[in-house]
Amino acid sequence: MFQIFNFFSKNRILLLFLFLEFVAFILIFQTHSYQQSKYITSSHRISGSLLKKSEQIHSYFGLKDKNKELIQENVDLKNELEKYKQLQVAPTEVMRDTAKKYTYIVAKVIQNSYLKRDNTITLDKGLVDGVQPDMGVILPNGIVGITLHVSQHFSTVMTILNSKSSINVKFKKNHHFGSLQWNGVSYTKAQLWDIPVQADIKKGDTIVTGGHSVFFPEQILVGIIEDVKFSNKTFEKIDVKLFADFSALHTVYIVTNKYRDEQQNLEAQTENE
Amino acid sequence: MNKDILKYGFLILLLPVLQEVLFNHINLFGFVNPLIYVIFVFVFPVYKSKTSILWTSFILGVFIDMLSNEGGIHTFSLVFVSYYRLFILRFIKGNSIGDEESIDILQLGNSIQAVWILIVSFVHHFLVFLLEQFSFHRFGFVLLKTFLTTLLTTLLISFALQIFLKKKSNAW
Repeated sequence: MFQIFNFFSKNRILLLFLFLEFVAFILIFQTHSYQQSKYITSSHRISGSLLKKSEQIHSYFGLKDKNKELIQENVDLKNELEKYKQLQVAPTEVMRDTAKKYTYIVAKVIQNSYLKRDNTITLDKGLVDGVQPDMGVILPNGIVGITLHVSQHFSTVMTILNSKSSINVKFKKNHHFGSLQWNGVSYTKAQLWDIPVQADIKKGDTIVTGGHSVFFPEQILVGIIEDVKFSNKTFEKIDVKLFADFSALHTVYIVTNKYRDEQQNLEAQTENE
Repeated sequence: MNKDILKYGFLILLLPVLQEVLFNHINLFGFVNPLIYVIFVFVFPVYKSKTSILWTSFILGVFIDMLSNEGGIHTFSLVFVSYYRLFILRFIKGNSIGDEESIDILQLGNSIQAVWILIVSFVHHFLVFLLEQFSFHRFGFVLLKTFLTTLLTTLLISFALQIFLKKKSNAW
């Protein structure tokens, strides 16, 4: 008994060192599982408000570019609106319902990473603003990722620049589906997988979100095909140049899908049968 | 004693803020951001107990991880170098370290001080970037990033020590 005490008091510091490293390692492992630790994330209240202040300072330096982007977005939206005006179709009950399927929450990016293997960003909107975990996050000209943790006023987002991210996408021209993943090399390029061999792919084809995802509306822009490697009658690697510039994220839109739970429950039910 | 708690408590709060607000936005060559908070390992006095530096660097690491959303990567690396900092110094000075409790970072001499900062930063950065990658995939890139970031961190920390500590060398 005495020897045990002796051992502990002699190696007190080493044991403390090992203990602290063990705790840190558990924290690291938790971030690599989907269910992250709730406490040591940037959506925490204190770190969140600090990051918000920091973002406010930094945002002053990008106002000019931001203005240009907003003007461009305005023009695009106006053009879109004109198209709908020209359609002149009386909305039926079904159309009105699906039109309201998605609503958007505007959020500011207060912390951004894009140089790591598993990248996340932090937004200044949380539960009180209607944000929930597993919601899509998009830009006017691209997709960003899916919300991961949500606190009262902040939320963290797993971007598509993450080893755990896999997004259902399709070709704008022919509706062939595939999944978009990231190999960790360049933050401007993601990779396309599970594309059927018979799909006719060319450099410059536009990729948009597919309708299979409950996170994103259909037809949201993702990127264009930049490079196609074809060997052994399969696609070896398809590089997609992303429209979203992850090095300059500022304002994003969180997509809330009114029928998300309904669709997910139904799909789960069908799978169980 | 109370003065020390205030001083290092303030430093533990200040360093994460500086790191996140200022130094994480440098993006030299597009990917090099100095991890300036490692300066804590050098300014924390040697005469204090080893227990206290382990706990304080653990807390500082947790704050850094909270802001950068990285689980425990910075905590792990910072606790690691704070445990081995004297071992590394002894290695550089070749056992002629004398009375450990009276070591003063400013009396080490510039070259020894610089080498110490360089090696400690290198070990720390290597752990951070390796854990960030979480695999040996792209190991070359991890090494390159470690080298470049270490150089920048060492430069900035040496600079900061010269400015802030030289005048009041008794204070630390």
